[in-house]
Amino acid sequence: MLPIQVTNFLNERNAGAPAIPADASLFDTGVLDSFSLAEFITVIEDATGISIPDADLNPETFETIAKTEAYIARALGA
Amino acid sequence: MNCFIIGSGTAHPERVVTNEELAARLGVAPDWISKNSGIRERRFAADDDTVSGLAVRAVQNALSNAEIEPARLDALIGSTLGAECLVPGVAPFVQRALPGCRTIPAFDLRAGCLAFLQSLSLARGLLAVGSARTVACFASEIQSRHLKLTPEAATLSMLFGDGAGAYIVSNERPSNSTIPAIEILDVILGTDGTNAETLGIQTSTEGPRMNGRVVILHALKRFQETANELLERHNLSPDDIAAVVCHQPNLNLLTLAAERLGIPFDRFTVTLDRFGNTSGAAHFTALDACRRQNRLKNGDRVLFLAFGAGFAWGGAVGAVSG
Repeated sequence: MLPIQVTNFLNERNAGAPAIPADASLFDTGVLDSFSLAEFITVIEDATGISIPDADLNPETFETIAKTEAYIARALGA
Repeated sequence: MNCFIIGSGTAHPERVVTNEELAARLGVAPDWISKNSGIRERRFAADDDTVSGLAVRAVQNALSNAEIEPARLDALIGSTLGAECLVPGVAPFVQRALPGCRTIPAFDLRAGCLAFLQSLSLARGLLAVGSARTVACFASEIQSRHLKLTPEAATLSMLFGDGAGAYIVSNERPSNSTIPAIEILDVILGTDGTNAETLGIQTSTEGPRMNGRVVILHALKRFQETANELLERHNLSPDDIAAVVCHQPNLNLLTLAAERLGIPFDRFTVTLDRFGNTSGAAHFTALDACRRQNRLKNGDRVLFLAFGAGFAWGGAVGAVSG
């Protein structure tokens, strides 16, 4: 499950649209673009305390809610 | 170590290409270009424009601004992604076109968007070891000839324009300059080749390639790290920075950078709205605009930042002098 701050960020960007499926591309659905992806990652870092290393700074890592959840879980050692 | 930027200048082709003109060829709306880039127009070279020709004009304008003759130069450092020859680079063509310029070292860096800062670091080193007292640095780009003006390439081709820029550095503080000099206090550079294929140009006859999403993530991170390091090294806070002169990739990126750095955006110099991203030349253009805006006063701190192919990045801190 995503931290509430991350969920709120996505919900704000998806306001008025149907709920985002966990495996839907956040880019294809228009929730994220190149610049909001950077903000999204900042929100994840702030909410979790994770410092995302350079090797993981790519859009594929955070392309869907499911991938983002899995990444955060791995990074936190869950 | 004394290193002063004592002059700057630019040269751009005459032909203005507006978003309205470009949008039709890219299959997008003009507003879409300005919303996604902050660019309103850019310049495209005429058939008889050359990289070296633009460079000569930019260097001459910088020399004129510094109120010195070409004979005073001790070195000439150029950069371009599109030299007329593979070897020699563009700098020898500029050297021979400057009246009175001596047979000084004139060579290129293959620096892309880091041209401004990599040249500055090198020029500063030449001054420090006594190999030179006055150095001209420039970048010149004609990118429009290799851009794909098709809908498939819209997100990339909307960004770029043609132009050249130059500055003059000296180890002597100018005594009566009409435009303030900037003393360079520090320059830092970095490279991480892990993403060498993510941003660049494959050959001189191809347009740029870029994975924008990856580039933006890394650019913002490096901007922040570099700025923080420079501020810490000089015991400065974001409030102490009077002006930020960045490479000019995209207005949205600069806006995000301002937020992250905690520096009000109105302290950022913006030239990409009129000239687009002219790659290596863009940072020089921003410097020239900043110096000529009459906003700088003695003692002001100026922050320089750039990120580009490599990935390579860098920053510098300067103090307005005079």
